[in-house]
Amino acid sequence: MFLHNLKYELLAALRVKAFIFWLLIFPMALGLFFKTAFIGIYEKNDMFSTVPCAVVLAEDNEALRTVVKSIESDEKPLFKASFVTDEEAKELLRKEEIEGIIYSEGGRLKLTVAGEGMNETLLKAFCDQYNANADVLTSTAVSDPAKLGEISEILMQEITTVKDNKLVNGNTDYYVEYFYNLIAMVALFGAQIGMTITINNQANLSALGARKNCSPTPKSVSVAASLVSRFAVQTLTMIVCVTFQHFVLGIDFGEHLLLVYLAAILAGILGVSLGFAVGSVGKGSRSTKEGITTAAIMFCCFLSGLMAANMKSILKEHVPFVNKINPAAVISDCFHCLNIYDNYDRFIEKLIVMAAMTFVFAFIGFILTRRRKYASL
Amino acid sequence: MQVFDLFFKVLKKKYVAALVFIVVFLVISYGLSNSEDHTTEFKESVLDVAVMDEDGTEQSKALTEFIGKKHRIKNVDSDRENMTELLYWEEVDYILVIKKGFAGNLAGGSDELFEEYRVHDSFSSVYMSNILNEYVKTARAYIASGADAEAASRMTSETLGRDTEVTYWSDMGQGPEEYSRWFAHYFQYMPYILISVMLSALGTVLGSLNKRNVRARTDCSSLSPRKATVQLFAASAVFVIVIWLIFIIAGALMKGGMYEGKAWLAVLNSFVFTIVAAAIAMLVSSFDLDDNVVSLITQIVGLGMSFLCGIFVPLSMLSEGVISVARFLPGYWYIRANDMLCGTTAFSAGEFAVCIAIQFGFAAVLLIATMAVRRSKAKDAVY
Repeated sequence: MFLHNLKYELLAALRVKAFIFWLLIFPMALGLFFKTAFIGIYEKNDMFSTVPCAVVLAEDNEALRTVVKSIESDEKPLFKASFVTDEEAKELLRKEEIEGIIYSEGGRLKLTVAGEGMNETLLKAFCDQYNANADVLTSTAVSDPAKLGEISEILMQEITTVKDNKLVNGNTDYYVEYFYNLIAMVALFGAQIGMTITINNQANLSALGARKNCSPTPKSVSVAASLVSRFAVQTLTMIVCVTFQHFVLGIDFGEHLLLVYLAAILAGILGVSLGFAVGSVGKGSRSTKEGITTAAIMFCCFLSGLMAANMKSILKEHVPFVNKINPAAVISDCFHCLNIYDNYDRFIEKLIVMAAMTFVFAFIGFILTRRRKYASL
Repeated sequence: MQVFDLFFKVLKKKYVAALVFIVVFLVISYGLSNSEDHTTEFKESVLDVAVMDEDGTEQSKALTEFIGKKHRIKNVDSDRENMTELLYWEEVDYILVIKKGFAGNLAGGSDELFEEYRVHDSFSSVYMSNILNEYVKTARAYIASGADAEAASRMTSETLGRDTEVTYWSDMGQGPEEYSRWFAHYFQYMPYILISVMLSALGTVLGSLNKRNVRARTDCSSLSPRKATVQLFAASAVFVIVIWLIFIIAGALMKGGMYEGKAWLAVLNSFVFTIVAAAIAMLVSSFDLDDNVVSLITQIVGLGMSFLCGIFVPLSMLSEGVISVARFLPGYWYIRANDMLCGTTAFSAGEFAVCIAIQFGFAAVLLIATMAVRRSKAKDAVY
């Protein structure tokens, strides 16, 4: 009996066109848009790259040429300078081919920039340091000329005073968070198919429910078959979603792809359970329940960073408990922890929270759907 | 005027989604209008730097104070997970540990005075390492010239704290006064809203009126099909103009005055795009689609054009490949015109006119396609 019900529940679930659109096509399209728009932004904006600039000399400045040459010979040079005339430099700045113009006049540097940001700040820091060194040498030349050579040598020395500790070995491009949240959205959209379990089994909500209630199949068998079929369909959806993101869009989920699949499947089951619970509450019509659930899911996804990736971080500072109870945040955190941390502690913690939420929602669904009797159908 | 009235009767039942888009857009724009700032002079980037002072000497405190003059010093837990989260989300740009023995080694000896923690290969890491190296070299130069360690720290902070004269080239990257950054942003996001409003309201209303049965009933009535089409077109035009006017009037009210100078060109640009958005809605509505499908198309066309054409992410951030594709979409030409007006790119009257003409071209092609679809449907129809 169970298998018979399961077969038809599966067929019925796969034939609802709206689900195919919202659970498969829409996330794929959104993922494609995210990918096309965010590709390369992290490298362009956040990662260091050599700053192009122009140097205009009022008179020849051999010391400056030597310093610039020394900087340019570094493995990762701070900037790359072209020695040009004032007009050429301004033209380059206008065309946005350089970030600033360094003017050398009387042994001191001045800067002209056309914007604000780390590139310009780096150029200013260089000018500040050059002028400071000039000041030190000038004051030494006045106070103790004999030490000028020694001081000059110290100032020109290449030293490394900072020991580098990189904390993350995974993908540090935080634009990947949008894709984690997209998976969370697809998982929670599973609530829409979860909701059909109660709607199709409750006589006061659908004609199908009325017919099922007249049938001799025990309600527990019918509901269990519905639930298992929705879990199966949503599992398939989640596998397609992760596969599309990783293998088609080329999203780097770190080294634990199988665990990403596992977390995504569990997240999908959580979404279906959420729908099962919401569908069981109250006597609202199908469209009312669908509308409220969609709005609630989008709000959860907004809070977890689907529209602005750092939303979770903002909430963590002001209302940290929201991230702990928001299913979308818990799901996207799973992928985040898997990518960022070397150990699995936080990942397992998030999986346990997801499992607990799934259990609670499924429990609510079963409690509210059992023993419903109708005086008339 | 039955068809004209019918359009608005159907609209009454389908206006909620469009209203939500309009209200959310205006509320967000109003919020942003109060936080506008106009840059006239250069300001250095300020970093959030966490300093963990393991040395605790006068020299290490002087260094922390020196960093704090230009950047914000933050206190953070030394817990590794906490540091990782803060750095990953860029709540803290740089975590510096001043190692024990810093004061002793400043005069000479080991160069390993600091440790840094980082997540990204970022500018802040390169910048701070550079600042710290220079600080140490300058302090050592003062010590070599005879100053004691404390005096050397003080003099180093003073010397390195002197600012270079910076000229901010204000005619670069700035818009004209009458078309400020806020206006540029207001008009930049408008295409997404226009497409969403047109598809969710105009598209669904026209879709309902174009349903096979409704169309068949209208066609066999005493009203000639030509008159019905004219009335439908007039009602659509009224709706489109009202929606566009709402945004234009709201923009003027939020800025507290009438549009001036180049801002009028932005108004023209938005009007042309409104026609494009309406044409997209008309084309979609001619396919006799389910409301659910129209809703999906609304999201895909609206978000797709916004992501690909520089509406959500500036054109300068998009890759060449994406821009090549975007050229085939009207949103790209709208944003190119808008970028010219706000000074992101150089303004050229000829190029602006080209952008407007191309948008008109898109609208014309879409309208021709709509007529072709309707004609082919009418030809195939068997009532």
